Amino acid sequence: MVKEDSEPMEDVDLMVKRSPISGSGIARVHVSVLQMVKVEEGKPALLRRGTKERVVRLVADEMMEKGKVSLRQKDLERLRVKAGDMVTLLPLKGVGSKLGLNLNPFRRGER
Amino acid sequence: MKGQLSQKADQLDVPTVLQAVKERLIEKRFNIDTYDRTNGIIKARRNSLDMVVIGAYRRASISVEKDEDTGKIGVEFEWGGVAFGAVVTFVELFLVSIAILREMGSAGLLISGLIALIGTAINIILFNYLRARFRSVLSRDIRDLDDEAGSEPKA
Repeated sequence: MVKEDSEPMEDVDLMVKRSPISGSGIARVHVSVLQMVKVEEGKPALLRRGTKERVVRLVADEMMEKGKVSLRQKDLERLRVKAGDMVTLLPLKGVGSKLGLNLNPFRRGER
Repeated sequence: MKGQLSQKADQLDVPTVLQAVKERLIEKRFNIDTYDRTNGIIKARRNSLDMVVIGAYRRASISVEKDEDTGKIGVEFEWGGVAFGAVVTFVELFLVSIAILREMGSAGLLISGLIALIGTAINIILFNYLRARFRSVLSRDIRDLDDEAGSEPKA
């Protein structure tokens, strides 16, 4: 299910669909989903299901159903999901911002 | 450089194949320039800075057509960037080699040229490998997509 707020979102919940194309590392989503997570086509994003995470490149598709993500078999196995399950799509934060979050003294406003 | 692929796929339409081409191009780190679903054409370039610097700049123009009578999907590839990639590889390898081997004088110059030529040849071989691999992967994708579309219950 896609959250349809007008406010910019950090993450989107999507239903998994299995792609017949072999390989891994590519997630196909509806064009509107790219705008929601503010990730450009071809750029990496993070898929999360519980504690399992997987970095994928996003491909936009107008024919794709809204609220669904098409994943390849290897990615399904690595995320331990099957068709019909829900996953969360998040923009991939840069290494710098991840470091900043982990190092408390460097966080703005914290001493 | 041109290439062709023709495969029987009764269940598939042009946009579906075009989408598979797009997926594969993005997987191979191409940036999409043009995506014309109606006319079945996609143009892409691998022009990110890191790829250009290592001499892996590539250009692809791929058109997809379906012959409704025979049910065959025809894909035409047009590849570019091989000359640019070869020149970049040659110049970079030559300059690095000559910087290391400058003490050797004319022998160093000769060896640098040889190293640069070998590197350029490897680059061209990798380019041809990418073309061949892309073609075979796409052929498999068309077959898989056709099988999948054929196995889905019709509404």
